[in-house]
Amino acid sequence: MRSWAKPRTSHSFLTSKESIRTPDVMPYFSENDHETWRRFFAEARRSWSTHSSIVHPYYRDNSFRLEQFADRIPSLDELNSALAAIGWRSCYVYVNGLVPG
Amino acid sequence: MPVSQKIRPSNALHFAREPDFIHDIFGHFPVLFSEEYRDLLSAWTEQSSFLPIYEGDRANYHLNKMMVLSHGHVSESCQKQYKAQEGDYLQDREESNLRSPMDYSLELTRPFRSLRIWLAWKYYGPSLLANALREKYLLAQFCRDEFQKIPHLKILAPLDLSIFAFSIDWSLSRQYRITCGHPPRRTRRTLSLCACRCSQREKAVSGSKFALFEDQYSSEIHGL
Repeated sequence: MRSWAKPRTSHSFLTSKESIRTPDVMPYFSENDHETWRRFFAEARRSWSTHSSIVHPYYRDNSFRLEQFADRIPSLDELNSALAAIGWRSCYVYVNGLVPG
Repeated sequence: MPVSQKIRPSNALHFAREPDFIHDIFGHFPVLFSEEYRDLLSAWTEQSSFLPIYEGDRANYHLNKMMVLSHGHVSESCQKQYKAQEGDYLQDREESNLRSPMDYSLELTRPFRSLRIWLAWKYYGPSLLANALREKYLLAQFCRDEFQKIPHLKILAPLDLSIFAFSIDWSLSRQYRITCGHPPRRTRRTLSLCACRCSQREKAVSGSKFALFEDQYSSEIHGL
């Protein structure tokens, strides 16, 4: 591989001011946030059934995997245990500069 | 899978100003369980890691953000140095007769940048997609060069593939101000003159679209 063709290291295109970091403090979701989540979930369920014919099969065939999170906003551990089946994991990120913090 | 640590307010259930927890989970989580999607995502990431990032890309990013911020309407304050402090992310534009490059541009459109470009890439393959982008770029480059020769037109932003934005300095185009009273009408007249000028000089430009943002414009050029 030629030297100039080396892949970038993760997010190396960002400047020093725009770095991705894992937040020091884990986010706190209030009961109001959980209620927002439940309301959105109910609407999403209706939307999936109404528009099932036009939802992409990649999404439609796997949307049932969200059902386990119907009651509350999942924690990172819950997400990770769900993603472990495919060898992925999740992490909270804070992208400074790309989106308002 | 990166997830945000924020969630949208309860009174704005259908819209978040930025990718939030709901966006990340509802938008990304289910499709990750498709093996084919994961393979494509890995391939895309691997290939894109080789692409150089130019300063122009950053300028274009800020231009995109600026346009999203103002719901497709480029305001003068946002125009300055492409500095927008925050963007309305994936906001549907309000009903309007005005067209935005976000409506049809491959490059300035957030949905195009993610899913639609992926689908096009999957369907047509990388070589066909690259050829199409290159052709659009060359046409836009030609049209921009032609527009630069017209004194009262000012190119506002670096060429972004098939998109370039320009403004009309009406103080230098008194003849149009006199002959055409209403701003949209005189705008259309000037733009059609510009398009004709391009078409006459080079038959490759068969059509063009213009979008009006207050007193600033963006153009997309089509090939035959």
